[in-house]
Amino acid sequence: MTETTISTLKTLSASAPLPLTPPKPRRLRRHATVIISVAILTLLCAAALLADVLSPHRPETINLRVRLTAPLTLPEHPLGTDATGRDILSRILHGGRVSLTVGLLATAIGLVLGTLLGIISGYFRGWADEIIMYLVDVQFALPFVLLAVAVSLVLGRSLAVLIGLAALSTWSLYARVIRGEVLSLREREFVIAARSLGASDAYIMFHHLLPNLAGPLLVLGTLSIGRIILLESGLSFLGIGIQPPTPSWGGMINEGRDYLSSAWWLSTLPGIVLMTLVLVIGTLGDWLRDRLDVKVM
Amino acid sequence: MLKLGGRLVILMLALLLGLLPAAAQDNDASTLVIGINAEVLSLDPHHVPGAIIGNRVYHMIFDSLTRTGSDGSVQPMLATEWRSVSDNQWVFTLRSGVRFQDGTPLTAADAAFSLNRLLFSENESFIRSSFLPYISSVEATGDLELTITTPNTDPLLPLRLASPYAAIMPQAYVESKTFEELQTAPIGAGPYRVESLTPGDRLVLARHDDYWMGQPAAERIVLRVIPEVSTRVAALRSGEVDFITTVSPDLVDELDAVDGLRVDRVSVYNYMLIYFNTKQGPTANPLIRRALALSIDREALANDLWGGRVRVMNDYLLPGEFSYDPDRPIFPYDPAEAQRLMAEAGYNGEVIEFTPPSTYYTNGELVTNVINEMWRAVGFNVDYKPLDTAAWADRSLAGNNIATLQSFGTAGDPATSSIIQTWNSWMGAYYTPSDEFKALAAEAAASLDPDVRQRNYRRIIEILDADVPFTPLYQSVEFYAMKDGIQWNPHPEFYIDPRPGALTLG
Amino acid sequence: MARFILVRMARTALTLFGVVLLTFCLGRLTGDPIAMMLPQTATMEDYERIRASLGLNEPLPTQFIIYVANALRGDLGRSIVFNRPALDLVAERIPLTLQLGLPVLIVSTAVGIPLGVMTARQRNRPFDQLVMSLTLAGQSLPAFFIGILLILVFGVYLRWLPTFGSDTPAHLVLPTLTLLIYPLAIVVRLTRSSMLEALTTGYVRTAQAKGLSEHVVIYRHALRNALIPVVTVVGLQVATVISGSAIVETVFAWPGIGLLAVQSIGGRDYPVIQTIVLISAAAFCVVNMLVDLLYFVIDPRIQSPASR
Repeated sequence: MTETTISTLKTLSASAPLPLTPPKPRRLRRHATVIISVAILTLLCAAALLADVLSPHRPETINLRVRLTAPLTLPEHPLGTDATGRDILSRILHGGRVSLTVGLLATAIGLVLGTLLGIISGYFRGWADEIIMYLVDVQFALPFVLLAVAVSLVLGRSLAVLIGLAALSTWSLYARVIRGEVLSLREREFVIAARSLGASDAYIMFHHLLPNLAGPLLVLGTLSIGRIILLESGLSFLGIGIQPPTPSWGGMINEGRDYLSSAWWLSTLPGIVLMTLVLVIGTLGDWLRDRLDVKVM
Repeated sequence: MLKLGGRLVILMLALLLGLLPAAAQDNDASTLVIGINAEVLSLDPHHVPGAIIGNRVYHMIFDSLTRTGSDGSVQPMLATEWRSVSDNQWVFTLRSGVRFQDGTPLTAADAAFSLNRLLFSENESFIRSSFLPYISSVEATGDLELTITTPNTDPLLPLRLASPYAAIMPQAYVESKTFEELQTAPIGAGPYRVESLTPGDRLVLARHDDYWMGQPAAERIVLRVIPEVSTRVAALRSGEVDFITTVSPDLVDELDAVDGLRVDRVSVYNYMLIYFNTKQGPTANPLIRRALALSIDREALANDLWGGRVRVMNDYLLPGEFSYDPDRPIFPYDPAEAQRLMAEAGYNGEVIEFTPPSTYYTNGELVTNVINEMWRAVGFNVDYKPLDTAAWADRSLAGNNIATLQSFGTAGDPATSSIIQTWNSWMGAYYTPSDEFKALAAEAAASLDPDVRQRNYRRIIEILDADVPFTPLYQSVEFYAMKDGIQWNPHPEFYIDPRPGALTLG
Repeated sequence: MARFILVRMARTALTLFGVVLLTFCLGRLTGDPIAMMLPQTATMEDYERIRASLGLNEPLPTQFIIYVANALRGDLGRSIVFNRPALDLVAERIPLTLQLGLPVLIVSTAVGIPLGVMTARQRNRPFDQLVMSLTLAGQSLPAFFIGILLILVFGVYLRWLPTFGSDTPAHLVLPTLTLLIYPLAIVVRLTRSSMLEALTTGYVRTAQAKGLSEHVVIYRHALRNALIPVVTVVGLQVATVISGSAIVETVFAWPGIGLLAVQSIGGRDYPVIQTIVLISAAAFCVVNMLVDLLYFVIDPRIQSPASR
């Protein structure tokens, strides 16, 4: 999703002269935060990519004799073990693959789809609006769990299915929010002006409307990555998450559910990693949002 | 704006809170509050879906003609005595002076009406299929005399009627209510009557003061539904409930260490097993089935995943069941022999689908996860696919499993055990017993001669040993946690017996 | 206006039909409720007998037509699991779900919007950064984790609040707190973002130039303009409130719609699933229509629906 956002933003800065906000007094410290965030994000992605090299164990290997070992007690299991004696560190590293892929890809797909349909719906109104909003209503009214159970029974419990389901769960929110914004934007002077100058609909949508939607899109997008990874946790809770014993952060957090008072590290450690990811992406999102403060007229 | 918003919030909250009911009085000394893990789906035992959870309350509200004691014997309840009057007829004499919770006296007509309702009423019943093969007709042949005709000679009929699903209800009351009303407000002859039911939340039971056995200890029993085990444990620790069911094995030590609480373990009439498809897939080869069975380290499962609190199976029958052999060694773990058998069978990495239910059985997810790794360790190419409960049940019924986790139960006698009975059901798609097996089972079921029965059942077990249609793992247990003062008689049939003498609040 | 409402009512009817049809098909795709409830001794004949008695062996289109015909007469069928009318089962749980959902909705709006405005005005100051970080951190913890943690701290160790159930106002506190985290975060963040945008638009600056007080500028002009995405999201939150939260209801043993929905999906109790979907879809459509009307009130420049 980072790629998408950045490319969106590139189009935007190339097309319209958008004055950035004047420098803020805390700019330096802000920069440091951004650099640290980028570093952590890179680190998390690298760790997931290099999981095979970095993991001390195979993430599925069971060792009942050391089950529920606390962190920092056994040198071969620095972050402890879970209820079947699997190494938590190795599972967090490998789990990052599933969780980051699902979180980023599903957010990106949902964001692109939702934005596109939202803009079309709000800009053209009329029948396009009716049909798209009809789909949004149906999607919202349908219990997601039912959809997830049916889809995973018919298509199996693969990563692609998971990404598709997660994207399905988000596009409608984006579409509806974006549509609302566009309904208001399309009546603004600059759009009316562009239209009277003979700009094509596509040009207006991509060069005038899209840049002005960066704010809500960034807010929703950054919030959604964490939600989607947690959605996977909810699906595991229902027995339809990623196929065990493949690890994922959401699945691990769920597996530790009954152990919060007796073996806190099962849920808490993957939870901390997930929280770090969410904070980092949120920080970057806020920063981008502030940098791109759009002044329209 | 903030001020206005704040006031608005307070106002709205106050309004909402006003709508909430006043605090319920759950916690006086004569009330027992029990936190159970799942909702009892229907209070009508004749029409409940076959979920074991019903057992938890039916024994509180209803009595049946007989019951099984914790030693497995058949004891009189609403029937005081019974005799077989011909090859296929039993006569039950009912207890006199028994009153239902609405004050009406028990008659044979009520009993006949109830059993006929279970078997033949126009509303379909899931549980009915457990009784239909064994009962042809039920008739009141006197004020307190009930005659039951069976299709075959059946020495076990009194045991079958001990089931809580064979509950006796008053005919007049049942006929005066609609089917839907009876799902939430039935009447029985048991120790407690339904006072109120808030679906999904609580069932309040009040003492039946005219109960024939005498007065039960608790004035009220309140069953609270608390699905999440962490919450159940928290509710017990905070004192909001007195007693909880279904504690997960890894929480037992933690709870036992809490002052004023204790955990009781009850071995139930039920054991966990892996069954195989003997008709298709790699498991159609008996050598492969034997190899799979030999590569499961049952002691590791019992000691590590259950803290040593389950009994590893050594027989296909349970202790207390007729002809159980206590001297038989536990099912062996021998990976080397397993690998030899795999070579002998010419096993060449064929995929073995392992499709257990993911959350249905306590600890099932951990156990199957470990079994999957054990099989992989000896070289089986396992495709481990845990399924949600309904999908698993569907697949099982369709005969599509290759290997899966399941439990087998018994009512206390081998003739009622799944190892004999289950192959007549949909499970016949997985294994067809030989003619010898069937003849032995039929002879034993109709026989009253202990020597014949002993000999036949042990021979059936030899056949199972040779065929390996399934392999037992460990006997199921249920953990209950409660306040120290509570005394009760744990029962292997999953229920909490509140009858006089069986339970005291301390 | 009349035309707008007519069109929306037609769309609502269509939506309900679409949702029910989808639910019907998806439900049947997930398999059969009977297998799970049969005792182990049951035979295939028992299975077929019960299937027939529930009408499940009819062809799917026939089943659907029967369902719709009955539904139009107000009969939504009987729960396969509970043996009771599906509508009764759902109706008795709606109040509980609302008791939990309405406070969440009210607090997230009434606290979220002012908090969003405050953070926008104090942009990048410590207060802003604290609120922004907290709203993010809350997102990364699953509801059951937060819920169980709250139970352990306030119910078991401090003994200030009850651990489960829905009896008294005190019982409301922990589940509401748990449920509040996501909607509050999204309202705060969206308001802040939209405010920052709105504060830089022409007419706010015009207002400033006209010498209006800061208060008036912010609340009359900027906020009004910023509210559009917030109103949309709050509207969508209403939908979540109606359908309940399965996880929070499970953790706090709060027998609302969410818990019933998940139970019914797990138990393939088609009539109950369909009833829940029908009711929440209807409520959702109505709320969405109100949101669309609100757009015109908030931003009169949006072409009024009447003029279409």
